[in-house]
Amino acid sequence: MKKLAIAMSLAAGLVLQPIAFAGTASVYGVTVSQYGANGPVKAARNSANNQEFIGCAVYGTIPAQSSYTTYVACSARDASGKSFYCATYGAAYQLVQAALAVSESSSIIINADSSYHCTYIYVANYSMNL
Amino acid sequence: MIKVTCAAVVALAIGGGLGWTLHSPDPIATPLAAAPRSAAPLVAATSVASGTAIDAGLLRSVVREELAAALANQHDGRTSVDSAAKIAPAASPELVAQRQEAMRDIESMVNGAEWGNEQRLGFQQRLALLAPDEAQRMLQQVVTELNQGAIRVTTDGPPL
Repeated sequence: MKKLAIAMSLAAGLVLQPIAFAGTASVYGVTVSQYGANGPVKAARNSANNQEFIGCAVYGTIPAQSSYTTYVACSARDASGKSFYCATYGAAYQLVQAALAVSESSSIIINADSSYHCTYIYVANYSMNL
Repeated sequence: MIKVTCAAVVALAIGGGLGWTLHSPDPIATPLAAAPRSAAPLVAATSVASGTAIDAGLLRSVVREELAAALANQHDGRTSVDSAAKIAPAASPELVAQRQEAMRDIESMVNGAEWGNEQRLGFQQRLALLAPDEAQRMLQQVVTELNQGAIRVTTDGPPL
């Protein structure tokens, strides 16, 4: 009797699970081109393949070691394993701000020039990306 | 009787209206009409200001220089490496030696053709030692070679 109750509870939990995650959700993954990439962070993390990722890093130095400066680097890889990397040394604060805005709810668009300097970082934080 | 009452009411209305109009300090006190009055001091102030001796040519050249500097700093979304270098402390002989060693290490990593977690960490640490122009050059080289596939990435995640 107790086993039946446990089994019924598990079944109910499985049935109700989709309801708990109701709402619009991103279904697309990471896309990589020659000088750009885009995609949602969490969908990349939860993708079935072991390839996809997308994100940005911000780096800063202190005067004792070098000088006040920073760089922004963004990286992405699509499901097929194609990668894109860009970095901008001494990045303008607009780029730094955009890179710092990336979170698990982010969908990111990254563009670079022909020398792979990050020139455009768009970060949209929406519930559908969670 | 009714006619008299009507005439009295009409006379009262006309008289009241005329009295109000003539007595009012601003007969057409609408926001549009009020605007010129409030703008008048500004016009006067501008006239006074324009009377002072400002060299238009000098002003234009200053603005031109400021705009050129701002545009140069924002080129490609980067700030000037030179401006960053200006606030850097003077490099001591020890720091110069450290920078040279860091450069050799990074070049060795790049030439190693494999970029793993060890290289990633080592690169970040050594980059902090470099002068801004050196750091920019090395970062550029690494990113270009990563994109071109000259360096094989074996990091657990992004290489930078």
